[in-house]
Amino acid sequence: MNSRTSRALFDAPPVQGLVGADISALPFPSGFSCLARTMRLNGFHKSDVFAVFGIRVTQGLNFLQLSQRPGPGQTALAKSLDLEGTAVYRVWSIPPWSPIDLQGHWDNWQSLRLCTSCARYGYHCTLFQMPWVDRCPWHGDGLISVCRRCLRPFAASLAAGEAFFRCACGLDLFDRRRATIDLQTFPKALAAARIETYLAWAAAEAPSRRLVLPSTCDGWFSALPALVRLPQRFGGAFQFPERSHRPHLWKAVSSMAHAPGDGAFAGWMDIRKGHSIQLAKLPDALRKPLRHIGGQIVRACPPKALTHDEWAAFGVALPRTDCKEAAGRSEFVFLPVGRRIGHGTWIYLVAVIREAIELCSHIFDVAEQHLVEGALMATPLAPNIALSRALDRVPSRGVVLRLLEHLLCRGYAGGLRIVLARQLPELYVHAKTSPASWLPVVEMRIVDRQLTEVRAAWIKRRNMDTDVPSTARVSARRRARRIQRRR
Amino acid sequence: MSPDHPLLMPNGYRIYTKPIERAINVILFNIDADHHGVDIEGRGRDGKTQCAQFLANDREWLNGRGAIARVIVPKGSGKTDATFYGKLCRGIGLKYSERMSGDERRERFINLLLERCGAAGARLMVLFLDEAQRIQRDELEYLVDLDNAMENQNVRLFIVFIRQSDVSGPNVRTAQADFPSHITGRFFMASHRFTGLLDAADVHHALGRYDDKTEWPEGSEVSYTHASAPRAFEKDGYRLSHQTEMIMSVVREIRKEAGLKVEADWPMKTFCGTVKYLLCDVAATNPDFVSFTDEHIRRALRASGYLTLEYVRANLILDPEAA
Repeated sequence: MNSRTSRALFDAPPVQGLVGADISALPFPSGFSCLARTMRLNGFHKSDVFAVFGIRVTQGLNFLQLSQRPGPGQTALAKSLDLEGTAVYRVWSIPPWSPIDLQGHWDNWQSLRLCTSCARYGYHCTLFQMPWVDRCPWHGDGLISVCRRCLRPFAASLAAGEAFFRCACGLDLFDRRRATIDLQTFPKALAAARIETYLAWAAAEAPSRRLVLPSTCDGWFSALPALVRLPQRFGGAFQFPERSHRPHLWKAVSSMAHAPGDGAFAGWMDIRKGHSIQLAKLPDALRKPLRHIGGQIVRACPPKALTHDEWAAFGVALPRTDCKEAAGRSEFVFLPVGRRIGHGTWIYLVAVIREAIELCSHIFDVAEQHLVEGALMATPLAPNIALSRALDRVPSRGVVLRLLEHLLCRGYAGGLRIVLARQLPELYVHAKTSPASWLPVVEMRIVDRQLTEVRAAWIKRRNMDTDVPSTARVSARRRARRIQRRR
Repeated sequence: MSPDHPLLMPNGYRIYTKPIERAINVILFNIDADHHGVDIEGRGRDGKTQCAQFLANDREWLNGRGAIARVIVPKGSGKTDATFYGKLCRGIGLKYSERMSGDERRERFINLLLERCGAAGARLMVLFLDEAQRIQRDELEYLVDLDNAMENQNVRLFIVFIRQSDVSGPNVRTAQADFPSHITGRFFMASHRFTGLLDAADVHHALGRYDDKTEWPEGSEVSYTHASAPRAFEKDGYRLSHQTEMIMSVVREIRKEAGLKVEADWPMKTFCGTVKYLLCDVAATNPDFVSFTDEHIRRALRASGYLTLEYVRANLILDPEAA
């Protein structure tokens, strides 16, 4: 907690010669809050920022990000407000607020989120930027990121004539009276207590919780509200109970997963290098569930959608007269899982969401680093073989295996729909089979080299164009509707 | 005596004196009378600035009724609102006002006053304007604006004009009769003359502060007199205030010899200088110290520049021999 006594009570010059730089009445304000409050109370403009804070303002400079990212800008801001080395400065960055080790992932996604009651005091807390927090824990107000009058996002940068806490439409959340003479009405004790409890919880959680992300995954943050579970003792202070933005969530805990026998991971090593190959060998145990998934998806189509050979490839036997008569599509042959080459079970990775494959690969890396004893890897065997054998000695291997199976099955279900949908507009008729690219984000809780729990959240890709061009998607929908009308 | 003792530090300590008490009474009386200001004037080196500093740092005298700010009015010639509010901003320690308009500077200054009221949880702001003789007559209108703006925020502004009476320049007091009623009615309904220590009772009270109301290091319960003459203080019960009569008689003798009026107030500048010499250069350097002699006091008065200042204040030519 900030231990300073307000210098305003003594005949001391204002902190750093600035009005509003004395933040002793506000608990853990964000760097953005300190800057914005000072700017408003001193009547500074964009052109004053460099002289006052030592920050060179470039076009569209986002002050929220600048204050959150360790670097020269953040340091200059802290120095100019005489906050260097304080408890307030130490929590300007994101990591202290995250209960999951984000591995340095914190991109430019975030827009400024405000509590309207706090904004009247010129107050903003980094806690408000956490996607799993959707209400102010001391005022109870919902956090907003857009102006309630014109729906424009609140600016974290300074365009011409703009001011912090004020929308371009003129709606001003900042209240000079609240920010000065009524500052003592801010619920400081309650806010400090809530924040300190939260920070202590986040600090205790973060060392054991790891986030595993695909390398190209826009919007992964939307998985966080589901992955981050706030403790019951927080009550509903941080979240509204009727939250609706939960992505699909799957979880497994070590107590529920039975340990597989030796060699369970041997069949997975092709998947581990899945990013560089097109055809991968699968563990035999996965053949049945994957074929079942393929069959379920294809069965949603009318008989005339596929040729006789195509139906057969997916394990569906139909009279030839009921099927499509035209020539089959050669690429369909490769989509089903089967024993087509040699004696193994093989899968064409084009039919699996590539992020799911990538995540499987990452999970092997995490397992190698954090679950496997180093001595088990020090063998003359090839690295993949050494790893698969080392994993056989990991007590929580059952959870690892369940996670891998889940990612592959769900990735196949999604990938197959996308690939098929390019040729089969009928798939769009049913919401259940309609292709949508879902991306996995995984959280692994590792305590003392034991994987105690895994959670996979599936989020909808923001832009599906990479898989199905939007024009094709629209025309496919039209065709599907036309077919439906004819029936 | 430790070299970092406050007595040896420039501007290292402040003591509460009877003249400060009188000033407090005047200010509180005028606050209670619902006035918006009071004029406190005094001659140079009487301790007006020290008084303002003391009052600004020790809010107890206000009983939590208000917040306090102090501005040393800088010298300046411009008469625009931007210049005036710029002077106030600079005087109170606000930086980066150079490129602001007059309105922006005023708003900024008001924000600071409001912020201080907020921190104190009060609706009264007592603003000390030190060196108020530098405020031009026209500039008082800007203070009226300030007062109005504060009133709009439901905060009462009370300005204490601390002014030196013996300097050249516009004299607020003599020109009071010419002020419009809204200015006199707000700020100059009362005035008070700040003096040095008036008589033996004042001096006794002030010397007593060195005996038992000062302390260093903090929490040690060792007063300044105790630190300077520990043996005499502990064994013989020596107190500086016990020698008040002797000190005053030496002062009277010196004044008589110098051809000055015998009875006069003692400016804090030379009083503190005298005490410092006695405690630091006489008592602290003599392990067998028992009490001060006439000669010690004469030397201390000479070292403090007592006569030099008295001649200046009396507009007399200084006799180098006497000084």
